[in-house]
Amino acid sequence: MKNTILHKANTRGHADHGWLNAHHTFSFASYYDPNRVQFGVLRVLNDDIVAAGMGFGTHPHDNMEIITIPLEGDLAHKDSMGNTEIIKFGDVQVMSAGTGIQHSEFNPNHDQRTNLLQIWVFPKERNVEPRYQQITLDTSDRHNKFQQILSPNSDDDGVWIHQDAWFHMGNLDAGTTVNYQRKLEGNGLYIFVIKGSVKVDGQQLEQRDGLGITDFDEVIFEATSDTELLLMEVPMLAN
Amino acid sequence: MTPILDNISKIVKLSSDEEQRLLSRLETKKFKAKSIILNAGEVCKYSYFVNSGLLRSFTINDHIVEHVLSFACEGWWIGDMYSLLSQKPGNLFVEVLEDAEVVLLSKENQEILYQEIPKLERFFRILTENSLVANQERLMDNLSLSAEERFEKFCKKYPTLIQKVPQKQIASYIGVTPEFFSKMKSRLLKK
Repeated sequence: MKNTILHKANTRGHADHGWLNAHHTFSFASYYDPNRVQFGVLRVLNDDIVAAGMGFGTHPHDNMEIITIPLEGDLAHKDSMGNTEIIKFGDVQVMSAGTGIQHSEFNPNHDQRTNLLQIWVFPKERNVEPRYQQITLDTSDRHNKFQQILSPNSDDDGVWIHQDAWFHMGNLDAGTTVNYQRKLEGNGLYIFVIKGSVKVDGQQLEQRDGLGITDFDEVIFEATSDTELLLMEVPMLAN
Repeated sequence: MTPILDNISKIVKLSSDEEQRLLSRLETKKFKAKSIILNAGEVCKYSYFVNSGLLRSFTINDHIVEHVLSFACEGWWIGDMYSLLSQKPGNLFVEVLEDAEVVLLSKENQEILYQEIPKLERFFRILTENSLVANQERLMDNLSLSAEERFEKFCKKYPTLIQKVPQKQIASYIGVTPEFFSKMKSRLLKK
């Protein structure tokens, strides 16, 4: 029997620091809600707007898979492994923090803001060798279908992480219906509406809403407007 | 006798008139598990006394890492001392772990009570002294004892908490990761 949990956009934690306007789907920093801590191994889903020239100074991470998806503008990344990269709309970046890394993230443009999604997933294995991966995807491959942007396998489409998770993105025209099939038994699916509106198994979702589904095999998406979606299939925790 | 009067009577003797005066300045509230009574960034206006249930206080560092400062079950006090005394925003969250009935004593009322019932100043002085000793001990333990020793001490001192509190939180209180805590527990069971 499918179970769902709805997280409306305006129930997210919100912190406006001026240079950073952040919305947190799950507890993060000074936003703490015991009922909004994680969805399975999906621990953080942040929707950040970073002002021109501003960003996050060097800070550490460990034992976390960190996925960054620019939605608007660019992000300049620099880390302790020696990577210096710019990621832009259409790219997906992943860092397996493992035993520990430090990195900084800045908006390199002086004339526009950067909007990005940052997602943290608990890894399957602790203390892995830190790694970095960045890819550019053809967004036309997600037109009216789901394009895989992340998987557990290095030889599969998209980036890979140390976890039995699959992420997809889809840009659906109004009126289009697409199905999603679960990849691994026991996994849950967390849906984030980047833009637009969609009916998910009949549940209406609007921009920046989140919906978690467990005990499912298949989910049906019906775009009620042109919509951009992020689907995250992740292991659930025994509890 | 209500739990809070019971708690106070262990240290000072109040007349029934004084008891009534005190009770009139207290507020009792029920909270469901997974509610937050105090958020980091807020000014703490109350001391909390637990009639029933279980509470914890903790901070969050590195965005998602929780550090448990204390637990409070029946008959215990909890709060953000720094924020209460300074009336500045604090770093502590106070969360309800098990459905609880909590007595709230506002700082304002506490000051009034010190004037009206001077014996209460003695009560809170002794409470604070005990707390200072406990904190001194805990600080020294954290600096000098191994995780195993700290865990064994915790079990001896708070046997009821071991049953009630999730492992992850005890690990945080001791100052180790949940993974280390599990491994440590299995090692100790084998002994």
